[in-house]
Amino acid sequence: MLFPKTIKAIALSLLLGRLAFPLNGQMSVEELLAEGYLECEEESIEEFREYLDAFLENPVNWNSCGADDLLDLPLPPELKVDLIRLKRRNLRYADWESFQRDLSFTTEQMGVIRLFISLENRGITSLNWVNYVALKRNGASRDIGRNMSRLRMRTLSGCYAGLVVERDENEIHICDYGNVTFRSPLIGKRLDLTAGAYRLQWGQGLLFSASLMGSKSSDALRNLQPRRDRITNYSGTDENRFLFGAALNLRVKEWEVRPFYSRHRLDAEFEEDGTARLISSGIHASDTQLQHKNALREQMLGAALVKTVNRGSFGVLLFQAAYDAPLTYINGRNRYGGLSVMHNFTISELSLSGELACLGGARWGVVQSIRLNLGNAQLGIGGRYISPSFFAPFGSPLRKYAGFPRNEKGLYAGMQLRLGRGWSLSGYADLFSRIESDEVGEPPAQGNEVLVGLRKNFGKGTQCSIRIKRCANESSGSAERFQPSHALSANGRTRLTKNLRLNGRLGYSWREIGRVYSEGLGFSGYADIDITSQNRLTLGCSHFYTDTFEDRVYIYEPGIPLRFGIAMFNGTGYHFFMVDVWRLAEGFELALAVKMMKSRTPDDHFWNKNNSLEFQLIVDL
Amino acid sequence: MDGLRVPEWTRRIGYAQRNNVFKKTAGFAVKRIAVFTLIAISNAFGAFEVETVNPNLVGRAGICSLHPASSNPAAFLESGGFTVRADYSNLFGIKELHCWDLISIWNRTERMCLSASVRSLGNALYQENNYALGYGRRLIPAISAGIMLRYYQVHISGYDGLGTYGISLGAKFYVNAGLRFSLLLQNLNGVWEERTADILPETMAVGCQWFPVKRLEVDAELFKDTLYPFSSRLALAVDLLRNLQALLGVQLRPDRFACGLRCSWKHLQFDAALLNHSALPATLYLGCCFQKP
Repeated sequence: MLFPKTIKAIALSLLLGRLAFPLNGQMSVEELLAEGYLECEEESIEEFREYLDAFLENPVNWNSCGADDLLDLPLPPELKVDLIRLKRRNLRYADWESFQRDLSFTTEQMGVIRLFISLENRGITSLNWVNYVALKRNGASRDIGRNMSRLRMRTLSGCYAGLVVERDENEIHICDYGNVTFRSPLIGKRLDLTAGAYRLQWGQGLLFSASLMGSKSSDALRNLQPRRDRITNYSGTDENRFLFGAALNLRVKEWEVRPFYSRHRLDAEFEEDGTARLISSGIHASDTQLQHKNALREQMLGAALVKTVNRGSFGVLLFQAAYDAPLTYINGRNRYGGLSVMHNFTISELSLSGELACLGGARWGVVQSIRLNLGNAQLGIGGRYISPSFFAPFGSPLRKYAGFPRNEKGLYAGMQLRLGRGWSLSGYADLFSRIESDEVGEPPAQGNEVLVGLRKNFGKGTQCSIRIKRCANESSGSAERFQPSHALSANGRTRLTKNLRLNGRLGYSWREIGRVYSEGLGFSGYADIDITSQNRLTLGCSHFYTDTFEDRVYIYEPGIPLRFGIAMFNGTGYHFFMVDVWRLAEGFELALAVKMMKSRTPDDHFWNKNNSLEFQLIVDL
Repeated sequence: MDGLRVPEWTRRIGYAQRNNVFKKTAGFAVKRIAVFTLIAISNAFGAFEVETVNPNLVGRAGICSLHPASSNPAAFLESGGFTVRADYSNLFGIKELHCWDLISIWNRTERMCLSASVRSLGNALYQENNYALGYGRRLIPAISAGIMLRYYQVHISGYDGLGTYGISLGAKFYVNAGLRFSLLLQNLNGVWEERTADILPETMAVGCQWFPVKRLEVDAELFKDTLYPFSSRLALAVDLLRNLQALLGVQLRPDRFACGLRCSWKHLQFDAALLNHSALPATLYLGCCFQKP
């Protein structure tokens, strides 16, 4: 067994030694954030981390942002409703105490809000260093699973610098990936410079999207919401999908000009005809993967112009990209250019936003959405059309069909209702269809997806929610046309004492293909124990059983802070986990996670045992 | 194999075979067991997975994590005082499958209890016995926790006996006067054992106990054996008279229905339950209990 004595000793000392302390329960920040995003069928945990990092690195300034900026934040909808209500009163704050007093948020909710919103106009001097190491044992093999070190620094003048070094599991080089990013302070109140790694957020994400997270969240309205137009520093761990170079942001009255330049090497594999196919996995473990590493050079030059008016903004973006080899996705050419026009207006309770992007010729896409905000009720509808062969490496609009060709048209409608007495209801319906069929003589594939979620907050830390998603996703040429799959997720938590909170999560998926019915079920139960005000221990276990791989279930499990442990369960088995987070001193936080998993699929003759030990040290000065 | 459940016996015999228990030519007893096992397999659902023979639990569809004298040592604290109970059943009317259970619980204080139990299944040719010692403790008013050490033994006539141990952990959470939750993890030691083969079934049970009105108890449980799909159980207990309680339970996957009666008189309690299996004949469970507060 991997580190048998160490794990046992740590587990026993934590379990037995700590129970003697008084207990204090608290809500985990990760859980609040994960509610709406994880447990999605096609979610990638890495993309989710990237997505959050983009917000963590670039917090919204409360005193200078708009209500739409708040809508963009990855916060639970009920929090955002209250925040937007406060924002519309045009109140400015210099300290968090008065902010909390006005909104009556709990300490836990404030903890989440403060991650994404800042009050200071020019920032404060801070240094944040995250060190993460995972040790893993899979069967007989033992390895350092993943390690990552990230440094972020802000100065009083608003200057920002970031550095990240990372090695994925099984990679040979200890620093397989590294990146730096920098943002200058405001120069003459008009100009700031971003250098190193950065990302560009633009419109609805047809050409440039900060997170590149493809899947929809259960926040029905947020799926229609455009990203805030800006240049963001990047110190994430997606090794390919970012820009590297320099970008300027110049403000002249209501106008903003953002020229940008990028030049760096990307992972790619070459076809027999010499064309290159981009690879975004970022894994460099095998010889082949190492050959593909940094195989293609990309250069990009562009500029965006945004005009802010009374009720919103509109803008235009132009760019040109060139590669040192022809790309498969753009018909064997090695350069392409694009143009995008976006708008975002709010007229009373109505918000309109959209983007039209063109990559030359018949390759174009358009997204348009209308949202109605009536306070406790929010409704929205959006349409999209993405023409055949439209391909943007940094684009990630709302889309159901992944892969290439990415042509699709769709109609999306969503709503969120606060029903009073702690009840809230949300849901969306998305109808989509390919524009062209993959197979000659076949009609284009089409499908639909419906989600309904109900939540009840009983107060005093007790709440429960249930979400049901039905997806009928047709594939061209498939014999199983329109066989819907269903996924149900239910969560409940209650505060047993001031120091202890119990949580239960259930994931259930089922399908019926022909006469064959198959299903998967997973249950996770865990307790959060605040041993002291500086030490939180989480103990839990998950059990699961799925008939086939297609019935796999996703369940959120607590893990190392802000690393978001979502578990995908297939086969049968169980998973034990223990997470302990110590705040050693002001600004020093140590987290330790021990996980033991035993699983078996119908094809396995024996049980597979996977153990892992994860450490994270955060220094936040 | 989808949906097919191999009986508990088969797994243990499989273990015995892998460990060369059957060194001699299979005798009559083993043949009978093998034939019987095959018949049981053809019935598709586990016939001999004996979790309990306590009628008070069988009548509640076999819910095993919520009540005293179940498998959850944390729940034993609810019994109070000193309790001895004996239960018996002839499973499915098959004469080889006599099963009895003897358990004593001693609530030394309101916060701590000890228990000892013996369980036996089979006959002179093939017998499974297990012996358990349990300890339960109320950590704070809202939480009880317990641990149980169980020694499992298999005897086959003419062969050496086999034995192994299992450690179980249980907890019970008292949310308010009318709502309780429970968690039970049985044979937890499989987590840290090196063996990848299946020795003992590792199970998890999560239960919910709700008292919506004074004379009614509603129980629900989600049960999982590592190798098999989840079973869900739902049970009702209604106080018909002051000393008479009726039990009704249903279990899904495998589907079973159960009902029972509990009659108490002074310090004595008599229980009876009837379990309706989807393929095999119905089984009657009988039990009696002496409780001194």
